[in-house]
Amino acid sequence: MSPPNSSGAAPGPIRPPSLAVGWLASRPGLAWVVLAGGLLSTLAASLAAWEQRRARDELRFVAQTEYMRGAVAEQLNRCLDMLRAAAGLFAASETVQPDEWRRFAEGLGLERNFPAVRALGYAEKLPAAEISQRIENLRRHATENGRPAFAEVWPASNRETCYVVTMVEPLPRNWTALGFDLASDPARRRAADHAAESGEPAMTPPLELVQASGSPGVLMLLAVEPPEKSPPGLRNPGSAPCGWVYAAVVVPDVLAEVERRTGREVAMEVFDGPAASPGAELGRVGPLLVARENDSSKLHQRESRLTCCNRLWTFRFRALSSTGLAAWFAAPGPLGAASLGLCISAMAFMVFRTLSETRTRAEAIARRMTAELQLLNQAVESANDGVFILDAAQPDWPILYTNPAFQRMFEGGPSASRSGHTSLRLCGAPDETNLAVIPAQLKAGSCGHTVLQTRRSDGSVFWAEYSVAPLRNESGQITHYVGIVEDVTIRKEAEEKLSRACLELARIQEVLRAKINELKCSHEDLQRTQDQLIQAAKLESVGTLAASVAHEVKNPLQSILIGLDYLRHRLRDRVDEPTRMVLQDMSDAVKRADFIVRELLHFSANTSFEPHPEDLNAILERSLGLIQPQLCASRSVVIRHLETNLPPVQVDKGRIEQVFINLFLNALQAMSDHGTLIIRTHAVRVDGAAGLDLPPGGLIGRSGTVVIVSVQDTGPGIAAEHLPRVFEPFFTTKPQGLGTGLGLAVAKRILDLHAGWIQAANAPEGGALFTVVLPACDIEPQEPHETHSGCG
Amino acid sequence: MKRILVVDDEQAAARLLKAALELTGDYQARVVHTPEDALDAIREFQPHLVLLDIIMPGMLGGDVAQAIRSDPAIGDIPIVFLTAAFQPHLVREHEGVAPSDPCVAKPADLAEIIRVIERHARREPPSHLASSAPPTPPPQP
Repeated sequence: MSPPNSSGAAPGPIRPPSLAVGWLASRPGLAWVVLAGGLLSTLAASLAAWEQRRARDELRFVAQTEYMRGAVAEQLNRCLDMLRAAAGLFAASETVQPDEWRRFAEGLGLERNFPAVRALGYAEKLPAAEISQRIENLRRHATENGRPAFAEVWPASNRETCYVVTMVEPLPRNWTALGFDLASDPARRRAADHAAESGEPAMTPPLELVQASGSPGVLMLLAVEPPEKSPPGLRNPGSAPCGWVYAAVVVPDVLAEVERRTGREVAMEVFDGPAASPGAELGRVGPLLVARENDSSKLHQRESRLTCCNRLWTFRFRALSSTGLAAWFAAPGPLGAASLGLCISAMAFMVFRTLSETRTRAEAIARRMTAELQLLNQAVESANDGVFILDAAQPDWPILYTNPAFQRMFEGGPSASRSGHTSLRLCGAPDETNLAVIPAQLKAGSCGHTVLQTRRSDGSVFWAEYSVAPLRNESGQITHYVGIVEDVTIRKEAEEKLSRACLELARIQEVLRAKINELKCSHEDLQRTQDQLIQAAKLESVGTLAASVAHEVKNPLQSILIGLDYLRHRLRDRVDEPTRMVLQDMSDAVKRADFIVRELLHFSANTSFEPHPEDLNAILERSLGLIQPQLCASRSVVIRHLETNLPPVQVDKGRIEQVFINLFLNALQAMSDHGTLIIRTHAVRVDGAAGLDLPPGGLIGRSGTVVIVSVQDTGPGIAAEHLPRVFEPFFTTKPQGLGTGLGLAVAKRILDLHAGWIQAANAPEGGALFTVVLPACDIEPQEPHETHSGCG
Repeated sequence: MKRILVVDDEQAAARLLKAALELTGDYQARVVHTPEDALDAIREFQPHLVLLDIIMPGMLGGDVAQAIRSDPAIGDIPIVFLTAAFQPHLVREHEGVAPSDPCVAKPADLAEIIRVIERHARREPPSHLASSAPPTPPPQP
């Protein structure tokens, strides 16, 4: 569809995304690239943080090991200080007595301040010759002070000079050491000699101390001299010492103190000598580390050395709290960097992925809308009806668009419509007043609709149906009108034909209605006839029974009647009046019974029916002759208006006589005395019951002549409510004993047999009027009647 | 005195009719109740008239009439049909019943029967039967 020239028709424009976001969102795989880059960056940052952490850990580890080594050195130096203090005691005194040594040791608080020092002793350098004297002096002194004393130097030897332990504190746990000759042990003697020669403290290699069984220990020795030879505590090198103060130090206890102060983050092993040989182990903090020499793990480890008292100690350290994965996780730096990186990566991934999906969806929507628009465009362009769009914003509503069907419909007339300057009014409507209905309807708020004749550009006229609806923008304001024009010429012509056909149909309906009424009448007649036939069938069955019954009844009646006559003659002279009346009543009753039987048999007579051409006037005369006695008795007169040359009628003479006799007798009974019986006959030409002012009866569809007989009396007539019932069997208005109610029913039945009919009415001048119609011989034949068989 | 033969299977009606006729003093009556006995009774009794019922068990009245008329000796005896059929003309439909045959419908009183008898009865019995005929009583006024 060509876009309208108006600019306000675009509904709901979609705001385009920014250029950068659009570029990013247009690449669906970019989200994964961003995710991968984020993860790599996170890994690099984490590794850098981990390495930094590891370097920091290593520095901390080195510092820790130095601190631990310093702590060991400090412990040993404290021991040395203690020995120097003891040497000072000897320097300040000529002699040091055991109790003085004891007080000195107690003042030091060995167990509290020097837990690693198990013994603080003094070994004297004694020539073999002076040993016994010295032992004696010490024993005496010990006895005076209530303390134990040694009795001999042990182990015994032949040396000229012995290094005898003469004082040791705390004595209670070390008294077995008294008398021990240090020189007996080469390691102890070397250390003592070194101390004596160098004047410096000396330390033994690891020893098995009696004070700490199972734990390696060392003796720290410091040579002392008599006070006159040197300042207290000091000694000139090369001079002969008088003895040695020494401290028995348990190395594990030293290390335990170090462990107490530094914790167990770093394991430490101490070896005597320049190398960490397993046989020279002095003690350790933490687990055994020898087995991990070749461990390739990343745990920190190092070795360092310490020289103390002419002995070299080797320290081996190893970090116990790993800087590996656990530390990596425990460290806030790498974990934080990884977490932050992961979060940023995930968020970036989600953002790009959402952008990508949004763009994909938007593109799908755009494709669908484009397809729909194309479909709509094709539909409108291909439509058979004309479509046009009007610009509602401008006066006169110029046409913005018309589809090809519209242009074909007007045959090029609105070709200029695409220019946007042709209004709907100029589309060729011959009656602008009618077309003006559409704007009026639209302004009223409803859709415009009208059908009117429209002229094409070539001058031809066609019927067009216009339907116009408003188009509104988002604010509800009408911007355009869209309309459909349909060429309804064929429909209008069809409507006109239909209108004419409707009129014709209405006329046919009227005719049919008349026919239906006619058929209804015929149907009612047929229904009536059917009812009569049903009634006749019932009566025939009654008649069959009645005929046999009548024969059996008449014989007894005969007996009674003759019997009555016999009695009447027998008692002729002796019968009195009451008896005579009884006999007469009985005779009358028999005759009445016979009369009823005969009437009943006549009504239901299934005797043979033998019609012959007869002169109806002659039958009437013969019937009048048969009732002559009754005419005379009632003193009635008969007036005849009989048409001469009546056409013969096909009747059973005896049965028709019965009809007229019944009519005459009824008339005489109605008139009482001095009545007038008027009888008329005439013939009428009929054509399908037309021309006859009587019910058509059996003459429907038949043409010919009928003979009409009317019997009129001068009696009171028939009550209006009795007229419909006078032909019903056993219906009578006569007093009891005068009528059976069968006379007129028999007459009607007989006429039915002859395809004639009878009608009862009241004459205008009064009296009952019975009309009998019988078809003449020239009438078209009817279906033959059933022949009845007789019986005796 | 006329002789009347009553042929009727109704015995009571026949007996009463015989009694009533004879009570008048003008008639001598005989009664038979079966068609088979009728011919013998006619030959013997030589009636002036036969009152003949039509519907009887065994043989219809028409058949009896034919038998009578076929016999030259009694063939001229008048016959009046007496029937309980409801219409006299229907009697003529029976075989043996001539259209001119008189017919009386039951129930008929005595006067009607006498009227018919007097109209149709023979004046004298056949001569060849006169000798054997019972004596005719003198007619009474």
